[in-house]
Amino acid sequence: MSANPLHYGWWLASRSAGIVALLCVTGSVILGLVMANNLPRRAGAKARLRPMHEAIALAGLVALAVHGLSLLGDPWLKPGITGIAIPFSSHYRPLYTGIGVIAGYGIALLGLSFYVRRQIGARRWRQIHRFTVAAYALAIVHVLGAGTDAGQRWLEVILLASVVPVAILFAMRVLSGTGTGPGSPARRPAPPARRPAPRASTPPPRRTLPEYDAPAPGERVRDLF
Amino acid sequence: MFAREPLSRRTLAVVASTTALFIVVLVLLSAQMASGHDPALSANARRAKSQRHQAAVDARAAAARAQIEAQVQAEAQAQQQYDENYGNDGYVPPAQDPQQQAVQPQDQQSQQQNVQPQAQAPAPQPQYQAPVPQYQAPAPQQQAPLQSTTS
Repeated sequence: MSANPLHYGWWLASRSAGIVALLCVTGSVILGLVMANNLPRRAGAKARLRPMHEAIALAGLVALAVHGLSLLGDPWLKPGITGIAIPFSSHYRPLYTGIGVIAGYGIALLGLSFYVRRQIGARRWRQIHRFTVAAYALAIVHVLGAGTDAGQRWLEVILLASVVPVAILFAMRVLSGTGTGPGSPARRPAPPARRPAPRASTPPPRRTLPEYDAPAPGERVRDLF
Repeated sequence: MFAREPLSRRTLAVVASTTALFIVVLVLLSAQMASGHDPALSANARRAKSQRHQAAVDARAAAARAQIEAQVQAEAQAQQQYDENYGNDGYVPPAQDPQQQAVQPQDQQSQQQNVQPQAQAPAPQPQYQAPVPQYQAPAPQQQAPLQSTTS
């Protein structure tokens, strides 16, 4: 059955934006895991990857917003504001669309938390930012359960090509974080014991936090992620 | 914060790439829909086709049922007309032995008792009931005592 695509413009736009959002978020997650695994060995490679990671993540968030907002104009689905903003309130496959809404919120909050990392602390931000992979997994479940093109061969190929590298990189990250990786805390040499400095009459000047992109000399770069 | 200058250049590049990707995907999906291979519309078409098929089957079954009912009704009217015109006096069922008639109700009762526990569901009542001919069995003729013709 052939149909006029102009009659389904909002729906097609939403599907296209969803696919673009999936690709962008996948690319951003892959870049983040590559940096977290300390895979770029060359000096300065990580500094070049970081802006790319940020820009692709922002593009994915914009595509995600377009994916949800364009559904408001769909005359068949008619989700309304509540359908796209409140999980499990849509009448179209409520479970999987609800999972997609939760995944969207998670990706947006965890991605945008980068800009408040000074307020919440770098260590806490790193701990929070790791859950982006969980939100990405929810997004994959949403695509498989509620995606119109989920049964299409080309989308299955895209999903497979994006999920497999993320799974491998995430497994590497988890294994390296549990003491088996090359940079695990168990393999780090113990810091030398310091003698307590004598008390000075005037307090030392307060140290400011180092810049995000400029770690202190001798500090491991991977600790930032 | 890291350097802003490369971010702006790369941001522009990423925005342009994302927009191009969005347009390409949109065009591909539109072409897929225009060629009749859209998965959602195909599924809807299959569903509608199956609904139409089911409706046609139901209509055919209803027509056949109505035809049968009309036929049964016509037969009943014809039988009734026949009975009104000619009556049923000409039909005399064969006489039965009075002893069998006396035994028969008992047998029927015992058969009903045997069958009753098994057949709990009421049998469907036929819509057409043919008029039962009123039959009165002739009184048994008294046999006269045999008289010998030879004295």
